[in-house]
Amino acid sequence: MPALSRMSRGALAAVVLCISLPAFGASKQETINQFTVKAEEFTARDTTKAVTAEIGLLKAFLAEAQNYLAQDEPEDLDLALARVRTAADLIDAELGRVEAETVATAAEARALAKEAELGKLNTEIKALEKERAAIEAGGAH
Amino acid sequence: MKFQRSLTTLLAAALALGLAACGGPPVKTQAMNEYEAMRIDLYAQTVEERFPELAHEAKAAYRKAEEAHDDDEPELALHYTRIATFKWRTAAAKSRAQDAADATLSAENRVKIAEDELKDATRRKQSAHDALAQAQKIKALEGQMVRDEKAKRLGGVAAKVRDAVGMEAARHAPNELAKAEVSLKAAQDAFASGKLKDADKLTDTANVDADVLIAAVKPKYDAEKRERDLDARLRALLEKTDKGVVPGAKGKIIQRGFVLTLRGTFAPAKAEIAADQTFSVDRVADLAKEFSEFKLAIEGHTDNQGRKDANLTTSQNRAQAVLSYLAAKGVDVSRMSALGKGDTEPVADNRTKAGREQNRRVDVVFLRP
Repeated sequence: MPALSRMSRGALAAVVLCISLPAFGASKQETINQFTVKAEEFTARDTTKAVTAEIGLLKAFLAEAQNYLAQDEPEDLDLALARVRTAADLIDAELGRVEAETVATAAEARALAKEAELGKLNTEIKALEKERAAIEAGGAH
Repeated sequence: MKFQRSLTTLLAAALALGLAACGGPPVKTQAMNEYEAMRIDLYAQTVEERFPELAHEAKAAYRKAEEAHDDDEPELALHYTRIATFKWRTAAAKSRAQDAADATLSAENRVKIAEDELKDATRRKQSAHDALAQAQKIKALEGQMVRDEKAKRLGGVAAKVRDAVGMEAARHAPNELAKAEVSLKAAQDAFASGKLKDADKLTDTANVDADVLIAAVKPKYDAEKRERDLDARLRALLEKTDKGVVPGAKGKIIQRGFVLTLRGTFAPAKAEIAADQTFSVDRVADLAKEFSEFKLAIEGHTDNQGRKDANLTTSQNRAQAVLSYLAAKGVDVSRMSALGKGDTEPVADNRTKAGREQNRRVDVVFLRP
């Protein structure tokens, strides 16, 4: 690099910039695409429609990002992509919550069912023991 | 929670309006107010403790939102407010998910405990079931034993009544029999219909009636039976003598029992048994031993020849001689008595020779007890 003149270095920088700008755009598009796919996955996961609004917002952010990319507005694009990421994180967390709560509800129902079964059995045992005690106390007539 | 959040938002908005009216800092947006409301709800502290990194990122983003808001850059302020809100809500959702996971764990633990207790309870139920079946079996056996005992007792009463019928109760004690039969039937009916307590009392009554019946019947029956037995024995005695078991002797059933009359046993005016007559007296001894239930009255008789007192003495001596001979042959002396009656009880005409022969005799009387 010391062999290059100041002018040559400037020219090289311009070339690198020209080459990297399309590459930069491709990477952002890929990100938009990835999150677009993710939005569809979220929709499929959202069987209880708990995060319909958030998925709608995510899609709106993706559309904004796509627009900023098309208009070559990198700063706005970065901000839009930041919103996309945080929205995706939120949706993922909310779906995780919903799934965990579904599992918890099912577990609670199982526990209640088992406890009810146990209660019923204990009642039956008490009835049997009571009947036996009555027989033993009564003796033969 | 929603209501609390709305209220907080409303208060924040009112505060902002108030500050604006007083010329304070610019009014915060609705999104900012909503974010701040989220951060002060009761659950916020838990979220912050569990997910400090996300909470920190949310705070940092919100600071930028406030700066942008202060710099009058509403779009940037909205952007950072959204970032802050999303991060905080992400943390809250993760915290709720953790709560749910904890609840799942707790519920699964309860399921496990309940399953273990169910296994134990199932065993206890089986045990209780077995114990109940055993108790029912024992009760049934006890009940059967009690019924058997009552039936046996009732059977005993019925047997008494049957015995009484066998002892001709209908003839000996008809009233007592009727009463006992009525009592017995009442007890049997109560027992058959399962009224065991009533049956008990009625059995007591029937038993008393049966005892009264037996007491009324038995002495009469026994007395008759004794008489019948005696008659049978006397007939057997007669049968034997009729067959000539005692040569030259004649037997007859009389009021007092049975009389066996020996003639020609003694030589005239003698009181010793003639040698050729001992065989007959031996047979009398056999009969006396065979029919040992009878006492023997040995009575000597003469004809009316000679003096009366001499005849009496001779008859007494002859009776005594027979007694002594029988005793010598093994007949119990205590069973026997000897009495001379002289000529006081003739059985034929003393005026003829044949009649006098008839009158000279020794009667061995087998006395009815």
